[in-house]
Amino acid sequence: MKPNFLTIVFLFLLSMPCLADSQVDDFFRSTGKINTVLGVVIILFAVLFIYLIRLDKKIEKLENQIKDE
Amino acid sequence: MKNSWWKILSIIITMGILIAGFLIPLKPGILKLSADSQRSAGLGETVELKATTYNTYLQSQDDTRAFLLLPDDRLLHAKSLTIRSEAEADMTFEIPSDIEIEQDKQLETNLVIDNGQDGFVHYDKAVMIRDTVVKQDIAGVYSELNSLNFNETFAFPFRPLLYETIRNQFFHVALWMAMFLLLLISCYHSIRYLIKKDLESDRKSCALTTVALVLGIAGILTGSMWAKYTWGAFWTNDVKLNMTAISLLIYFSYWVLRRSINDVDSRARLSGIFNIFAFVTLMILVMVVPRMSDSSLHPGNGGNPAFGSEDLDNTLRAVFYPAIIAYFLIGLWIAELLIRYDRVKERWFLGLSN
Amino acid sequence: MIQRIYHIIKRELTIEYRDSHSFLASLLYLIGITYVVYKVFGDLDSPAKVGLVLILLLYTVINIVGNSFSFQGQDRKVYHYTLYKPLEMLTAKFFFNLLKVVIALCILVGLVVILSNSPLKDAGLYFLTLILCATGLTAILTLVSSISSYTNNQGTLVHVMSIPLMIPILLISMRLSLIAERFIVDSATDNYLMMLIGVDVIFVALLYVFIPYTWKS
Repeated sequence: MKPNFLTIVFLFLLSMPCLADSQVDDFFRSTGKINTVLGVVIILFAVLFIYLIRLDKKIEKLENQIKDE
Repeated sequence: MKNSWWKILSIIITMGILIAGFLIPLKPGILKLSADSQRSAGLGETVELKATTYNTYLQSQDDTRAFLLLPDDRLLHAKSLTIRSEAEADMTFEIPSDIEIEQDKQLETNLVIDNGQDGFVHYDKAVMIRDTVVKQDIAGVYSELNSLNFNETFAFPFRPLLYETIRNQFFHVALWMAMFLLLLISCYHSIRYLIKKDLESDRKSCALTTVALVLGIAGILTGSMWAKYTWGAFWTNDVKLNMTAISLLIYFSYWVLRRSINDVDSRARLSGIFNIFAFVTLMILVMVVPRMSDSSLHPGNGGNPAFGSEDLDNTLRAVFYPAIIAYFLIGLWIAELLIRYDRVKERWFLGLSN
Repeated sequence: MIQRIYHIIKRELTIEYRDSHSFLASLLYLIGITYVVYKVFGDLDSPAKVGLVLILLLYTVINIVGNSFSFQGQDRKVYHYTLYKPLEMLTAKFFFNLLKVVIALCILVGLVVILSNSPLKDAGLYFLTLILCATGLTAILTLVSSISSYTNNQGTLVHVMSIPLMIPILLISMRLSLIAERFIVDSATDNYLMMLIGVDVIFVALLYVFIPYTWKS
């Protein structure tokens, strides 16, 4: 399988915590830890949007199949 | 888009919880004190403390006071209090010589800082008082507890270690609750299928399970992110995290089961049975797992997995319940799309074969 | 009805006796894997031992019960279906499987005691826990194996579907057997036992409710 956009996004998401470990450690542990909340919200919406994009592609495929008839 | 008022509602509530979840401030609190080793004193000795507070107005209020709260509910006044900025204060306490301590025990006292605007903020186990030989007699100046100010503003509670991440209640814990609701409805449709043999119910139950899985994955990822920056590890022995993991395992196997049966009717029947079985197992887990683990990392979480009385106060509830509804409606929306997709596909297949 | 169930059990016993190699193979697998575990971990007398016993039990139960519906071919299934009611058939199968599992369980515990050279601290509680645990696992696996006998990749599906479902039972049994082996002190032993029995009852009840549905094809 060719690595597509989604895989790259997913890998990026996976590696984000490791990145945070080394360089921007203080970003997520800043006073009051508000940035951790931000990270959580971003992950939440990333997962939802990734799923929506997949669903969109699935529907597009079905549409094309029906059009071909 | 007929009959889709609930979709609009889900958008509005989601916007609302995002705005409220980020904009409602946190109550003031004490972030940190000077190192542990300097926070212990004998009778009649003097102890110096440097406190860093959060969301406070120490400087602009001129009635700021500092106390040590003794276990017998007396407030010991600070000997001196130097305020360096809105959120930094230095203070010294003279421990009175007439405090009674049991032999070889230490007395835990809490630091309390109080002013008219912030109300009182406290830091538990601030100074340990040792039992020592008294060198000089010092009498303490005390106040009563009811002299403290209360903060009545609408704000989220300040919890040590969690701080602002208490807002994750709306973006992580609510996700888990919404997933549970979706699975409940999915189970209902499975039972309906087994009674009425209506393939539409099977389609609904499958779509709802898929969406619940997506929410569960989001819950796992957000949970481990939160755990990392609060407790220092991506995976902890926490009740909710592990319960989500187990339910994901169960419903992934449901997914595998569906894909390994070709016949439509027996697929619907068998996966319906498994779905009900899985949901019952999940209910058992919700009752059993919290009692098996000795401690939970979520604050105030002893017996009841979701609503410990310490876990949620009214301010949090005001945003937490709408958040559950919002994720639940979004889940229903996506499930509806899946169901419509399936219907169109089936109609197309039937059209082809005719 | 009881007579008919007894009749099925007797028939199953005869069939089992005629090709007893499958049950014996399961026992051999159990003995082999127990021996390997003790060679790998060396002498242990720690909470890990209790956990290992449970995991060995889990795999033995999967091995014995997991393919209890698969060995009969399509013809035999139809034959049984015409001859007996599903509930009778199920009861017979369930008790027969339970009998086999309990035999395997005794062998397992005996082996563990001999190999680790430490007698059981509270044999009664320990056996009660393991038997209750085995009952629950057998119920789950009977249902799962009857579901998966309709699918095209049986072997993996039995494992994939049954293991997550077993977690609540394993958690309670783990706590109970830790208490029985005196690794932790807990006064709520009766509560845990009641919980385990309750969970068993729920699973067996579900099994009885749903088995007729799996048979309708």
